[in-house]
Amino acid sequence: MNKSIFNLQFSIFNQKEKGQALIVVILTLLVVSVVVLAAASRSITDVKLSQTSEESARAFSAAEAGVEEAAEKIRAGTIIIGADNNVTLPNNANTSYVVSKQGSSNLAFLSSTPLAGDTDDFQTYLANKDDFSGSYTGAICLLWGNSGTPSDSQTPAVSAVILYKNPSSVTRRQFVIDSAASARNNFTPANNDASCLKQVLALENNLTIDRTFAFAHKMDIPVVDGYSPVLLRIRLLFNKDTAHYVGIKPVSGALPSQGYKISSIGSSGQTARKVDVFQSYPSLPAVFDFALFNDSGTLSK
Amino acid sequence: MTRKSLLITVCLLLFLFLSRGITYADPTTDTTTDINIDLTGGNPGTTASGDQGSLLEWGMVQQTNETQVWGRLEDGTWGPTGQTGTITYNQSQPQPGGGYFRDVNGNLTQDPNQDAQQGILTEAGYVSNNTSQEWIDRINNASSRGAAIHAAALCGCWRSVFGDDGDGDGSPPIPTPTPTPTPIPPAGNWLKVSGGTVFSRGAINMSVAPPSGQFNSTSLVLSGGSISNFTSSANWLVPNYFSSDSIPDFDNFVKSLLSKSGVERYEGSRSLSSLGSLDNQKKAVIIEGDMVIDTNFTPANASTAFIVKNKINISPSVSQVNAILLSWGGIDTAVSSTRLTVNGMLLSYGHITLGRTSSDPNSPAETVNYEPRLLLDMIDILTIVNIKYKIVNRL
Repeated sequence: MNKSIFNLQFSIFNQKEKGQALIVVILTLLVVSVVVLAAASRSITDVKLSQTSEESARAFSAAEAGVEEAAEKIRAGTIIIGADNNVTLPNNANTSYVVSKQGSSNLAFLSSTPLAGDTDDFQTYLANKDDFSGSYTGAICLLWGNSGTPSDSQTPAVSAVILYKNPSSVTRRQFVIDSAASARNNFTPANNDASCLKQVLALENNLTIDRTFAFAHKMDIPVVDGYSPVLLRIRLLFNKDTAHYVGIKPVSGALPSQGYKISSIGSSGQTARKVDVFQSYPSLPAVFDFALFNDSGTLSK
Repeated sequence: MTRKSLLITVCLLLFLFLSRGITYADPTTDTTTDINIDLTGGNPGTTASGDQGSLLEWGMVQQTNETQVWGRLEDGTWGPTGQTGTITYNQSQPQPGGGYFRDVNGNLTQDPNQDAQQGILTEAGYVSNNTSQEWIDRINNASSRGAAIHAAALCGCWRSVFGDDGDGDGSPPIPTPTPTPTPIPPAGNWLKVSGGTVFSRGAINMSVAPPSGQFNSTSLVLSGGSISNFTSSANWLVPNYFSSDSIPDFDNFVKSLLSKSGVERYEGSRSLSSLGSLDNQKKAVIIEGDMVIDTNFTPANASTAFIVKNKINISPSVSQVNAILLSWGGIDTAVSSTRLTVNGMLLSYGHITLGRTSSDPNSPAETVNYEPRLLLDMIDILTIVNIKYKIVNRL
């Protein structure tokens, strides 16, 4: 009797053990599956990310390729303003770019790079480039010098040359504004007019960055004897070692277009990138501001 | 035969010997011309570095069977230069006993004692038939020789230049020591620059100031050294100015221009007259060699820039050039009494040599009128600077 009972119990217990093993096996398989699936999922995600990253880089490069082609066409004088340009590139990439003229703007026009020494020029159109119509004839603020520039022998002065035009001829006026404590060489001392704030906020300039200048000078550029201002060229004097930013700010009204806007969209696969580039209108080297330039030895007669 | 007749015979034979081969032209005939002399063969026997600019005076000395170019160098030595250049001389052959000289006012005069006035001569007469060494010795002994403005173009004879003193031996008169005359530059020997900045890497040193009421410059004047006899109506004179300017590489400059319309390029040297008409065009002409401006340049309805790798030489007869002149090797306006006007720009990364003379104080020898129209017309052609900045957007 007891043995029977024992056998029965053992039998039942044995059957329970067999069930437990099955559960253990199933749980084990489940855990392994989860691990495998997680690893696979991560791997797939990595591949997708890698693909996206590659496509993104390819799209960005394609957009830049469009910018370069547009810039070359501008340089060669073959660009068609406003036209869509589509270019198919290798590796399933392509680019589409449009060149337009930047509109007139009442924002300050700042140099994107500092002017080195006394040979870099910063050029601002005061009239439409194509036909020199629509001159800006109000007052402007000349802004120059990095914030904190001391007043010493190397304090930069500014040479501002304005070209004026009437229907048949061109003339030129030059101003030299000195920022030193006492103006050198009979130059005009900087007036640091209160309406010419030296701090230009990001929303107030073409570069959308905050910039503070050391010196400011307000000057009028009216029509003179039937000649309208068309071009302003700025160069620093006495500047040796430090490159300085410069800028022009219209006191009232808007400056005309200063260059081209190149909008280029590059795409690769499902990814697209857009690059907007401003390219200023052509500017001549500083040597062409001189009537006589003798770069070697004494000028004698 | 008496000793006297023997002496006469010897003198006669000597005269015939010295006079052989001479063809005397009318000395009053002014037939000024240029002769070109090859001076490229180095500089034997001298210590000069070799360019024409190092000579204080120079000339051609013709001996019996050879012609040599002799020059006086900055160190005072005198000898065959072996250099090249053009000298202007007068072909009129004076009679023996008198020299013919062109002074700074352009007058042709005859004076057997010109050695005392040599310092203000611009050119000497063409004479012949003598030994060069005597002439050289004479030049060496001339007290004012170092102040000569222009070369003597001589075929030999110091005797004809300085005159036979008539003592029978054919020699010139012994020079009487005279006080060194101070050379008086002509009153019109000044430079006028209108409407643009003047820059000189070194000093600005003019021998003649402009007359009262006139100015050398109407604008900014920047000089790496002192400034003398040079005025600005704006009173913007900056002596001892340091410029950070560095000379741009010609090839890189040209490379950035070549694909543009309006650019014309020539390999090697060119003269202006060989380029053809540039009327009715806006053009940058690139010359990868020397350029000789051998004719006036006043194109109709045109804007022109000459971009020259080496030197720009302006011929003495040229009086007007309406263009931008930009040279990497220097600009020479040439020694000439013809006044020169450049309506454009006179730009050199080398040295500018101003050689024109003018006797009229109200008419400067050289005038540069900055022409801003050229800047506007060339703004799409000579561009090398563009400012870019970019904004990247993710779509």
